[in-house]
Amino acid sequence: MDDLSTLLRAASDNAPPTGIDLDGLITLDRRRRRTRWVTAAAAVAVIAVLGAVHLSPGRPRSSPAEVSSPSAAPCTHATMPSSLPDQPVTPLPETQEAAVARLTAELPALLPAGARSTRCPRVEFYYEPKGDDYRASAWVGTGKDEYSLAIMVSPATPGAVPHCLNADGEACTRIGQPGGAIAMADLVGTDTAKPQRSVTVFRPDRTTVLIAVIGRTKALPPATRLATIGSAPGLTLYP
Amino acid sequence: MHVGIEYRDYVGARLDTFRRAAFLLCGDWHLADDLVSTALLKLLRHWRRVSVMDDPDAYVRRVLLRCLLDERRRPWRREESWEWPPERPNVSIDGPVTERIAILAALGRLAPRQRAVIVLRYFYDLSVEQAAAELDCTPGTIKSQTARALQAMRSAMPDEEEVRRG
Repeated sequence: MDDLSTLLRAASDNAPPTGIDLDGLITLDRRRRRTRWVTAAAAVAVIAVLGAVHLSPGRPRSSPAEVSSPSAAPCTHATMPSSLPDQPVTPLPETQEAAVARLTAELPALLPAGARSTRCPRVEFYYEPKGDDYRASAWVGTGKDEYSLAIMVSPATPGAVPHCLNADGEACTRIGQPGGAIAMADLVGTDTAKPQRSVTVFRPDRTTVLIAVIGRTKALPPATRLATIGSAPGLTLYP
Repeated sequence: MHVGIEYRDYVGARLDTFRRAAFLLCGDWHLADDLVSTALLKLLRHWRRVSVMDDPDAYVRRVLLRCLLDERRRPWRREESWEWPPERPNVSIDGPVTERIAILAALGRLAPRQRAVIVLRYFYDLSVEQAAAELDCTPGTIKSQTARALQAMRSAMPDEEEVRRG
């Protein structure tokens, strides 16, 4: 007992190999933040709808043409809270600006007809440095059939096993895609007014595309449709 | 330097110490790894804020201690029932291994907060004031807890050695 410090150190110097996987922890945190972003996007969408109804009852919301007028405010995108850590930047073959422009140019052919942004003249991607990914969000449809859509394009996590965003087991559906891509689809919140359908496409070109739609179940596009969008050759980060 | 890389470097340099401290706090390597994983995940979520602190290690220690105390409060930890008394470790070797078993057994007899005080004072070499700050109590409490813990360990260790010697 004379040298308790030495005894304590000796008592703990036979550590077995650790089961702690730092990469696994970072991946877990990244998944958590993605889920949170999609949930936040849904919250923003609901607030936007409520706000529009509150401010101008009975009046239709701004059309895409109105939003794209020259007096429209500069296009801004909300980013993640600053308390969250940045992730290591994955080397890509093009600059972030080039990737944003290229991915944005792909969107009109991929998105459902009538997809629009409430903040920007057009639906466009932006780079999210804290997640090291590219994101876009849009509104589709009108009235009760209106739903929000979010797309996240990110570099594939090495060794990642295809998985659904929110569900496991029978609630998670695997959809094989031409070219070897695997889409994992789930639908959560079916006991709410606006369930969320999520499709994560794990592509052979080392790109992962997550698409989430939130709205009335009848209005949501089927998972196969979202899987097709996520498998589009243009939505790659390695052109 | 990128903060993600900073996080990896920071944890990589201290992981062994975190695991050993957690082991001394709970006495089980598997549970220790669980505690450290939980603490590291919390550290990751708050890395930007924690990394600019004067002593980020103190944050990790606090989270570890909190995780341990929370774990001990969980329902499955409140009661342990055995059909037969659990077997004591069968140690036939003298020397450092015997001392290791004895010190771990003595630690195991302490209350969680007394154990935390011993680890903070004698494994991390913190002062009374630093330990008080980390456990959110007064220096006087640390002094009294330390004295009681040391007394309990002194009385426990000879018994353990007698048991091993048969």
